Amino acid sequence: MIIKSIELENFRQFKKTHIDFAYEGPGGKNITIVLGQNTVGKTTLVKAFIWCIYGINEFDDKQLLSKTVADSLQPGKTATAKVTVELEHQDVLYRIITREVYKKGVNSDKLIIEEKTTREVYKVTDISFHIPPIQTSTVINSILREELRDYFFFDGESNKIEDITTRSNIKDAVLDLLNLNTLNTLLEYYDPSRSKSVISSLRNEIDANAPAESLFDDIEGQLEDQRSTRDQLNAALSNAKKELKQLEDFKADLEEKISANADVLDKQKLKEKYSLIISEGHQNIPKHFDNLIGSINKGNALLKTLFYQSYHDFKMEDKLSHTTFNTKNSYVGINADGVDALLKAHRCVCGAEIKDGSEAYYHLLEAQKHMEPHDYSTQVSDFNSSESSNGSSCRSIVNDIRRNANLVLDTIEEVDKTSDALKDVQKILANRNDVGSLQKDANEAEGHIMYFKDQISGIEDQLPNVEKKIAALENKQIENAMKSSANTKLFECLRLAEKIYDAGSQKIRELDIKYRDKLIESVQNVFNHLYTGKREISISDNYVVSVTPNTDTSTGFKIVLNFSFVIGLMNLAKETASTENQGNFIDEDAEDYEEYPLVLDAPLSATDDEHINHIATALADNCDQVIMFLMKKDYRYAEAEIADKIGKKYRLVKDDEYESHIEEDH
Amino acid sequence: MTENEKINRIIQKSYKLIRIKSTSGGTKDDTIKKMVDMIKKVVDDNDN
Repeated sequence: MIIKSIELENFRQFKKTHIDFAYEGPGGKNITIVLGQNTVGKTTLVKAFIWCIYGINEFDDKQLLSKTVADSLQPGKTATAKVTVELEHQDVLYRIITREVYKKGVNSDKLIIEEKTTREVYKVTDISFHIPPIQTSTVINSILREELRDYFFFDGESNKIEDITTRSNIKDAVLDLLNLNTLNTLLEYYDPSRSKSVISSLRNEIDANAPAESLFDDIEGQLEDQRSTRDQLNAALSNAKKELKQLEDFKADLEEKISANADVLDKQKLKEKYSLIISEGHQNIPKHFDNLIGSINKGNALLKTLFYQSYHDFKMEDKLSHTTFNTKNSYVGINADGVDALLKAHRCVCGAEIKDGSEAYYHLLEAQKHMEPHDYSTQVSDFNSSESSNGSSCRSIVNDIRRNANLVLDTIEEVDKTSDALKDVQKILANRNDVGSLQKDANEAEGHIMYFKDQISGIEDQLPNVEKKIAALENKQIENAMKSSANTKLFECLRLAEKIYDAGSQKIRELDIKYRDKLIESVQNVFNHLYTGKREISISDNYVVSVTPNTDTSTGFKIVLNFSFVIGLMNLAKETASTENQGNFIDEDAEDYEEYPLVLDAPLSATDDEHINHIATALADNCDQVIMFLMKKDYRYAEAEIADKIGKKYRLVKDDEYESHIEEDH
Repeated sequence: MTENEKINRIIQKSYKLIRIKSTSGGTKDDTIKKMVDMIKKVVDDNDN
């Protein structure tokens, strides 16, 4: 960055001022001197740079508009304070225009800001290209980082000197100058600990692609199961079809035989019928015989049957021959008819009354039973009644025996006859197929055929589902395989990215240590030239500079220390830009070392004559471009050392209390 | 392309993307995506 010019309009005490700055390249006249007494506007010019480039207003009263212009401003009217800086960076000319618009109040003299500070940055080539406002800060920081502004726009009379030498927020800016920040930024982009980084993105992509290992195994397992099921079903189907074919052939053969033997079917049925009759007869004969024996053994039925008649006769005769009248209950000379007469008269022969139902009445009735002729008939009647019952029982038993005997005989006869008939039928059926058996086999075969047809149908229903599942699983497997293939590439990308990150981190740690050691050496060298005493420079991890022993706390010493740091840093920046310390990580497209200006306000005023001499020499020898605002008395001590490097020289002239202008000394 | 050549190419392309982002704007997410795509191309050996 080389500052080409600055132009101020209505800015503080400068109504319209333009300054061109000297720069002839390395070894040339690169120093611009602006001389002026106190309050003429030297510090204003340094602050004008800071306001224009960084948009920072460092004035205590904050009013940038020229007081003369403000005072003459009509109520309600506006005026603009404006500074334009032209600078060259990496062979590109930039024009930065910064303005703030003020307005005088309508009813008062109060000056208000109508439009706050706005910066416009243009890339000036054949035509001016306006950089979008949103990128203004980015572009300016890429030219010279804001954190370093107090080092390069130095106010020697400011109370910030203490702060400059001890501030700890310049690490990034220093690394930037040493060309390490590009690597730092690259590492930020690759940092795996950040949720948004190249490595995190690759890992996320891999995670999104990768099928879970367990899922992958599960698919394999499921596929294996389904394929095994399909094989089993196909084997079962093949077997069932084979069985079915055999059964259908067998059945067809049987049906053919049945058809060929249709004429013996009736005989066959007859044979079956006879066989059934014989079989049942053989089963029934023992039962019938048992029933016969049972009926014979029932009581003494056989005996009673054989001797019934004689017994009957015997019993009747015996009964009659042994009939006697019971005198106990009878009355000699009185017969049953006599008793009836008494009962009818209701009076005994003795004259006693015989009432129906009385004791006497029943006594007579009982006695009457043993009286002639009633007693004989009663005996015979009772006998006949009793024997009739016995005879009936005996006849029933005999009938049972006869029936059972007949049943046995009939069954035996039927079996015998049927056996003969069966033999005849068997003779006819000899050497002929057993159609019944054939039919039975055919029916059985049909049952098996139905079973296998059901089995085949079931398998054929299942198979498409299994095939469908297999196809789905195979597709999933292909999909996984594709993802797996994509991940192979992503893993390679990740491996390279991690390698870059690890190597870059290692490199930046090495370079950080190396460059800090070199910076200490470089700053120490400059310091040794600038300062007459002995001090040891050290620089912390955050690039805070300190000296040992730290006994001199004067402003002059701090100025010396500050210049030592800036000049030492620039020297190291030149060196690092021209070396390949960064190895693989060197930015091949990075620009070569970029020159930087030092804009210094009263840099020598707080130091003694000897140090002014040293500082001036160091500035002339080491700095690319120097713009110094000096009082004449300080310049006098430095002039001899820098005279041959001065390209432009100006004088600030105070017109009145509020206005100054600049004149070039030729 | 050797692995070292691939790494160098990725680094240089990354620097370029960082420079483009700092000068032309764009979001960090976009730049990360471009870097990932660029690495894939380099791995494919067809990054011209």
